[in-house]
Amino acid sequence: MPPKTVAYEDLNPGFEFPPTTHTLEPEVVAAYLKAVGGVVEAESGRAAVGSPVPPVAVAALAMRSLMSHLTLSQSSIHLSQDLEFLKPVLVGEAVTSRAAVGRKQERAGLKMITFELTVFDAAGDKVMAGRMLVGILERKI
Amino acid sequence: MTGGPPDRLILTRQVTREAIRLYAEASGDFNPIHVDEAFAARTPFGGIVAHGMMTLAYVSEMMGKQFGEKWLSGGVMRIKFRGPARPGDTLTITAERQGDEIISGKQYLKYTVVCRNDKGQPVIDGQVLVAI
Repeated sequence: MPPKTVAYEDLNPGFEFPPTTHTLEPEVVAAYLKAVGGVVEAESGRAAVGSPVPPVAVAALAMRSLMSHLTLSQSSIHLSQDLEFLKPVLVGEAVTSRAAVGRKQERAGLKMITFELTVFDAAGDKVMAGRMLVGILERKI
Repeated sequence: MTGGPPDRLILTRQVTREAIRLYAEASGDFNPIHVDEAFAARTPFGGIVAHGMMTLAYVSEMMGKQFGEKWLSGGVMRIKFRGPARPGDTLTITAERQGDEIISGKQYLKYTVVCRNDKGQPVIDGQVLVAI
C-alpha cells in the first residue's frame, strides 16, 4: 500500500516524516550507476555487493523515500542542495532515512520549503546529512 | 603541481534523453518536467530538463575520482541550481581551489564549483569541500 502523503499546505516547520528503512540492493544501485554513467558489472547488470555506493545516490534514494510521503505541485523546482557525507555506505547495506521540514517561506510569488535529511546505517551511525530547498511556482502550468 | 591537492578539477558529461529517463527510473522522480515532453514544453523551461541531482552526481564523481575514501567520509556539497541541463547539452564541471575551511575544528580543502552547458550558461554553482 502506498504511504499516506502530505500536501505542501499541511507541512509546517518541525514536521517529521515517518522514517524509512531500505536496503541499497545491487540492482537499485546499478540502475543509478547506469543513469549517471557509472560502472556496473557487465554480465550481471548489478553493482558489486560490498562496493561503495556513490554518496549522491544515497542522498537521491533518501529523497525518493521522502517524496513518497509528499504531494507537491508538478511545478516544483529544486533550488539548492547541501550534502555532507560522513561515512561510506556499501552496496547491500540497509539505511534509515529521516526527513523533516526545516523552513517555509514565500518570496516574489515563489513558495519555498526546506527539507532536512539525515541517513543512518544499520549501526545507527549518521552517514549523510543534507538540506534541500524546493520552490513551488504559483502559476499553474 | 606535485604532491599537494590539485588546484583545478574538470569533468565533462553529455546529457541525453535516455540518461534522464534512466535517472527518473532509478530515483523514482517522475516529475513530468523530466519525462513528459508535452508537459515540459508548456513550462518556462520549454522542454524536458535533467534532474538537478543528476548534475550533482557528476560533481560527486569528479570529487570521488580525485579524493576517493576522503570524499566518501568527508565530502561536503553546497550547491545552487542556476539553470536547466537539457538533452544534448555537454556539461563542463570545473572546481577551483579556494584554500581551506575549518568546520567544527576539522580542516577541509575548499573548492568553488561551477557546471556550465555548451553555451557557457551556468547550470549549478557552489562549493565543494573535502576533509583532510
